[in-house]
Amino acid sequence: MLHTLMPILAQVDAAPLATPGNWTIPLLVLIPVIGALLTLVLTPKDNPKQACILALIISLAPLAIVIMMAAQFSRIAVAEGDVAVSGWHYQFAYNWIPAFGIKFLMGVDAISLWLLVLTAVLTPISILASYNYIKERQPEFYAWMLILHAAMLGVFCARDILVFYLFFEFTLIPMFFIIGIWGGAERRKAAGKFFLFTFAGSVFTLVSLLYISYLNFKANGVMSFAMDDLYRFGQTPGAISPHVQTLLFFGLLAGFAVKVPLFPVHTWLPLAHTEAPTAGSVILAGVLLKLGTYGLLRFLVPVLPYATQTYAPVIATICVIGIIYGALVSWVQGDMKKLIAYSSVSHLGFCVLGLFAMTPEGVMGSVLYMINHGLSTGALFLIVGMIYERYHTRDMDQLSGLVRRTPALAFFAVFFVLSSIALPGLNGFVSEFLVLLGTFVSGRTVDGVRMGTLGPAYAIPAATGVILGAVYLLYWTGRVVFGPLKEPVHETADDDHGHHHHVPDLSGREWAVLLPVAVLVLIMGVYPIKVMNSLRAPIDGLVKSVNQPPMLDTGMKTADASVTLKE
Amino acid sequence: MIQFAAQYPWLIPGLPLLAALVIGSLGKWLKGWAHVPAILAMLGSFALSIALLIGLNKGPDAGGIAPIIDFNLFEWISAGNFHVPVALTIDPLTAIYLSFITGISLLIFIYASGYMKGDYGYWRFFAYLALFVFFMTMLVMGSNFILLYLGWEGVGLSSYLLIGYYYPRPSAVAAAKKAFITNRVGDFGLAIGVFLIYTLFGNITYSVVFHRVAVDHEFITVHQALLNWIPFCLMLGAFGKSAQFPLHVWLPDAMEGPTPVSALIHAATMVTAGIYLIARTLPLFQLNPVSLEVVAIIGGFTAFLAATIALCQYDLKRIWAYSTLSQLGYMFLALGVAASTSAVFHVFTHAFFKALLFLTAGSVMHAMGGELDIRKMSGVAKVMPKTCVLMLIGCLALAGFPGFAGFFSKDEIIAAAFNKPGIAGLLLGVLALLVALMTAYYTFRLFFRVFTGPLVLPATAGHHEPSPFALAEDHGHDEHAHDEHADGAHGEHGAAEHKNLDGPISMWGPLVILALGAIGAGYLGLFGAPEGAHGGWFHHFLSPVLGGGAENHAEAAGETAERVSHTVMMGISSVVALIGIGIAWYFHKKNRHAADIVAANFRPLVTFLYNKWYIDEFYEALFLRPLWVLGHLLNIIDRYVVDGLVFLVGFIPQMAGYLLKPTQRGILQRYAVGMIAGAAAIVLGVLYLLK
Repeated sequence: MLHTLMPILAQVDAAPLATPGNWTIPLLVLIPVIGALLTLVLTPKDNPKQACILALIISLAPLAIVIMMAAQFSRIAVAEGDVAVSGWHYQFAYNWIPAFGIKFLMGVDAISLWLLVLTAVLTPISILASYNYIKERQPEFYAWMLILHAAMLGVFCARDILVFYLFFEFTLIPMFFIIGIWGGAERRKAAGKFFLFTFAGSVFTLVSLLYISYLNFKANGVMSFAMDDLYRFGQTPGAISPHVQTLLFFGLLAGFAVKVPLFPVHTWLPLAHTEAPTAGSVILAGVLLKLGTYGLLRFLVPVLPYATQTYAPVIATICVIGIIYGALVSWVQGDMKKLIAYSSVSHLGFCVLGLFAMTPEGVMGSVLYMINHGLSTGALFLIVGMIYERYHTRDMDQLSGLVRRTPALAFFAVFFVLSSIALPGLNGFVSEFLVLLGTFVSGRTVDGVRMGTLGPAYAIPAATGVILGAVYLLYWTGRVVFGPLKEPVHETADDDHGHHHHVPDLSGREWAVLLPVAVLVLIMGVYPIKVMNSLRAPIDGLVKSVNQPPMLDTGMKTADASVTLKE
Repeated sequence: MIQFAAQYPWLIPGLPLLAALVIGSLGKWLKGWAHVPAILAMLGSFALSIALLIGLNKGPDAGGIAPIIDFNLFEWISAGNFHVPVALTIDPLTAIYLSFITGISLLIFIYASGYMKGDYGYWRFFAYLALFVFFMTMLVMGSNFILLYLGWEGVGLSSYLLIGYYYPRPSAVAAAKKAFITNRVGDFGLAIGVFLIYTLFGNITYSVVFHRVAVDHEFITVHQALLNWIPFCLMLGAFGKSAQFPLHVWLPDAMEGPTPVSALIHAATMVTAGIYLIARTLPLFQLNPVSLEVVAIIGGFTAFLAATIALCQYDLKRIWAYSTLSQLGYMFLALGVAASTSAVFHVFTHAFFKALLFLTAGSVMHAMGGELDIRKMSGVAKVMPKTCVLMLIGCLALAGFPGFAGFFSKDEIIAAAFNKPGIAGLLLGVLALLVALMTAYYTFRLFFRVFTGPLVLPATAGHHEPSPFALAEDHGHDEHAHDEHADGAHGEHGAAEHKNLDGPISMWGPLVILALGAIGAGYLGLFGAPEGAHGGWFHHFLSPVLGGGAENHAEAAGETAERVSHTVMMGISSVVALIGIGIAWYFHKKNRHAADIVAANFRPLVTFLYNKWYIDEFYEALFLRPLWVLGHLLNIIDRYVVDGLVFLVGFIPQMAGYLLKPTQRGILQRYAVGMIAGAAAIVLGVLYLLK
């Protein structure tokens, strides 16, 4: 069927993508911002629920734009080559602060494009999912959601590292308010912890990237924060001394690792997830965590290739610990949201592991993992939210056998669980298998170049996560979805006449929330080839640039770096 | 028809998939008609499979077809050099598997339309079954290891859903979970095996990998060390899916599923996927003779272990479940002693008679109102004459009674075990004979207990089992009805004893066909081969894929005395089967009291066997509990230690944050300025330190 669709998509004729001053991306980012203002202004006071409808319609506009972009992309036969560095499309440039070389550079390649699609899909869905969940101050809530939307879209389009950082940090503010105002009982603590953790980590990141551009300035005499310039600088052998690379590596890592989150800096996540409203959890798990992995992929790895090679085993060890640790802790949770939150710790371990495998298979798996985890885990949070709306509890001891009461909801729950435990045919399998395969083959020498520095010693323990994933998620399914029907007491009999509280199955709105995600899960499981083909060039470029010989400890002169430092 | 099947082989998995989607989406409206799309799809798939089988048998010169290698549909995954096409392969091995998978599925679907009639989840049941057939056919048709893995996990999913079909029962849910997770342990091995294959061969397509193994000797010498590991990884997968020790624990519990499921998935088809895997990847196993020996030993041991447990069980379906384990053990034993054709032959005959045994057990269970304990029934032949005859046929085939299907295939395996050179062969052969004796005994223990002797029926006989799907809130109403029912039952009890409880034709009709298979399938291994070839049509047909099996192997080893031994073996195993049946007859028909005395004298042994060697308890104590405790421990550590440590590490930047707090008044510019200023301060600090 997709084959028949492709020619139709191909007819959507496109202007050359690399036109300078293409306004597509600024439009993409500005629409939600304007929409946020409109939502605040236009929502009728007597019917605040309409804010949801309004926000939903506005959020569909970026989705339409992103779909158009994807359609154009899919018809370009992406040529072999160093597209990771040069293959930017829909470029937009504006000399923002010329004195410091800060340019408002934006553009997308296939990696950012598919993450934009993920963002643009999940936002309307989580807005729609909030229709009944958010009961007070609706216009503000949806305005913050749209602001958040703009910030997330901006991150994935940024090509200047300061612009990236700006959007990256800016996502904190709307999310801080979404958790802090519309969250659960401990919302203030959760919001504060969320903010402090991520902010504290990203200060190190900011320092490091400022320092990198300073080194670049020293070496080349031009102040620039453009990613391309910094890639070129970082990939020059000997440009940054090993010692400094090490410092920069861990400095950059600090902010991204908290965001991912990697073990052991994940402790903000379970709290933030449990307290956030459904929409907040969905966006947090679906998109915000990906900002961390995206940052690693977009900045840390290409700018510090030698340090990446050297420290990949360290990161991989952390990932493997996280995979197993997250799974075991997830297993013993009594709160459904916490269970899924810890599952994210485990899953994101896979995602980062694949990236640091630095093989085409592993990085492909990692990028797909970002998309697939966003869909599956986002959907699981939607499901938990729907259960919560019905029973006002997330306690697994109080609920059981929901399939008997709400079969459609249970179907989706099982479906997304299967996607999450990487059942072949659904999306999770493709990415998880590729990550493990890519890690397994990492360290091989292909055509005289050593690809990656990991190997079976990391892939095999990580693969136990495949077993553990089934353990904790099927445990949840077995307790909540299956088993004898058990409902919280005050929900089953809410009057004295023995009449039962009617617990409805999925409403039309809820079908509209879950079905699109389910369809995407299926497409990404059965026919991911179009996405994979478009990702091939940027990923190959990245892998190639990282695996360039020489390694960190061979033939690198430390002299010029120490000169830099003395000045 | 043959040409059509060769052009559209994807219809074989495609039709069941379509049926599953149709039933799954329209099930609510199909209600009692949900079996129709499933049965129609199976008819189609079965016809196509048989057409392919006939075509392959004829060969391209005689109006048939040549084996289809890599029938490419579309590309599924592509990253780096890793390409996974969705491509199908149809060679004799696949065709044999397809024929009995689709054929037995068809029969069981028809049976289930009677057995499950009126069940709350009728359409759900058929949707799952059709989905299972899709994955199972994909498993055997896929032309690469990843499609195998797809089918492998897919049948695991169907199995999970169907074991947990009666989801309000906690035991069913637990059994489903156990099956899936135990299988995942096996899948872990399979995945590592696939990784190794990709690492070494740079490809995951069967034809490419096996071609390389066959021709590139230098490659094999260079990579011997890693190649040696591949069979062990794949083996773990096979042992998980085919429930071999140490991963056998899930299969007996899987009997929580409805009986047609036990017959189809947990006896006839899915559990033989492990044999398929090893038969398919035989070239990789042959690179490492030690691996085949391990397969043989594990197979032999599982056959023995399961047979001993089956001796002391009382649950009708569980006895057959352990028997399945034991027979699967035989198949692995055969693979291990290089009699792979015999292994597949036993898979084939076993599919008929074990499906028959499970379905007749299901008929008994159905008639007894859900009762499965053989201590609570006796003389059932009087009320279920047809079922009795059918089960007798199945029992004779399982026990290896001369002339029945199981006799020929099992006999080949025992002979092959004996013919394995060295002391190991002798030991395995004796073990296999011992298991044959036990098999004959426990099979007829069940038969004589249930069908002969004075008529005793459980109180529930002739009534429907209460639906596990009844809701608590319906209970007031339900209970009332139930009481009336029970009152009536007392009066009817006498009537039930004389009523015929065989069930509708949809239930015993398919069994007649299975019974014919249980009698006749064995002769395919005896006749029909061209002059001078060993074995029968079956062996000849499979020889392009599996080689000549045991005979050829023995010949290659220069053993000429083999033929004699094979004939002698037929005699020995006949005698063994008859002895086993005779013992069962004495203890369970003639003098049941004696059985109780023997059991009482060996109480500790009986308890040990009844409790399945305590392996479940052992795993619980060794893996499950410690992991669960570790999980809780880590949870506490996470809350108090990790969180605390992170706070300490993050203390300094937090302090910096607090210091800068006055500049943050919610005005974005100030916020940004503050951020940059703070950062700049730290830069200076770092630079100072470096200096």
